[in-house]
Amino acid sequence: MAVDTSYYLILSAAVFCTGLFGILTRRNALLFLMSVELMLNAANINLVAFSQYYGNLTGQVFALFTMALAAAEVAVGIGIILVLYRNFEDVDVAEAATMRW
Amino acid sequence: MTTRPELRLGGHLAPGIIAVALFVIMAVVFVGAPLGDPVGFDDATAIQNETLQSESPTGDYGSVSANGQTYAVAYNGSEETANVSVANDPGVGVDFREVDTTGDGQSDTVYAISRTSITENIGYLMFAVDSDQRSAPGETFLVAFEIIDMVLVGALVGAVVLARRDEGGEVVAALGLRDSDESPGTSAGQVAADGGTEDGGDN
Amino acid sequence: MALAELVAFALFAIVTVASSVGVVLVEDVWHSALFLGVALLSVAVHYVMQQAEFLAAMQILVYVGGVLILITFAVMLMREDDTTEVVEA
Repeated sequence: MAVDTSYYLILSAAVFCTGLFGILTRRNALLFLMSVELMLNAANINLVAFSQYYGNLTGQVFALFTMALAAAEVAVGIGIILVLYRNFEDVDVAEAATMRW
Repeated sequence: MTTRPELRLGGHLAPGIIAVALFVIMAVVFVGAPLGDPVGFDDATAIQNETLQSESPTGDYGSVSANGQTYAVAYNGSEETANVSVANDPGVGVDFREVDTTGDGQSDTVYAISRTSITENIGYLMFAVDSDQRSAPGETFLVAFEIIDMVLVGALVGAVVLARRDEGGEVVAALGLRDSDESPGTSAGQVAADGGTEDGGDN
Repeated sequence: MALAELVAFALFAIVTVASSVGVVLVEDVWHSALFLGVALLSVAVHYVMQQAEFLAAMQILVYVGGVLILITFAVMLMREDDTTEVVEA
């Protein structure tokens, strides 16, 4: 009755590899952040899929924690990127090669 | 200005072949994985049933497993009003329903039905509430909750610390005491009490 | 029933994967952020299909309501005041 778990695994792998693709090919720090969001979402899809597969709620609770951590990570990441943009006039991750101290 | 999305293709996409290769490997593994049907959270249908053991006309007894616990069940075998009485009260998280599976007019199987929603169960698991309404298996997460609580506070502090800037060698934070408020250098919005005539009024 | 569920899954899986690919392939960062919003919303649909309704609500609240708004702020704070040029190097 439900969709096969392996289909969700393939979907999750596709989203994860898309995020990895973005990190490997782009140099914009904001796109890095978005790609990391995609990868975290892929992990969450996996957790929920196996939660349903085993009929065990641990996966769903853990996915909730992942979401909270992702939100915190984005808040700090965007702060860092804004500082990066102010100091280097750019958000290219290859440009920021020096630190102050 | 409205722009339509344009793809950015070119030679810089070459490292992405690693990601594509990883996806191919993952897909091959997942397609070949021996996964059966998902169990799911069937809160509307039977979790588990067990055929009652006795065929005696005076009453049947047996056991029903639900949510990892086994309940002793006894019920009188009349056709219409067969009511299940449960020896050790399972609490309100589980309902019992007897069903006639053989078609002889006699209830012969007891289903245990969860009455607690998934969201409610998530709450019980996350805060490790030892409630008898809990009806889905899972681990408790109270310690993890507290740890992540601390991490979120750290993130908040980190964001506030990041939100500062240098103002002529002096660090100005978004939050915090700014003693430079009284100095005349930053008093652009201040209204001089004397109308600004003493200073010339042109700054 | 099973077929309808499979068709719904395939439909939303296509939406999820296509918008994810859109995030990493489009030229403009702002378009990337919009594609990310579509991807996050379609992941919430997948959660609903897997009996995780609470998680779907949290996905929309936290990701679309929080993370995406933050990213939008960052994009708009960093966009150069331009007509054609974008920040992306």
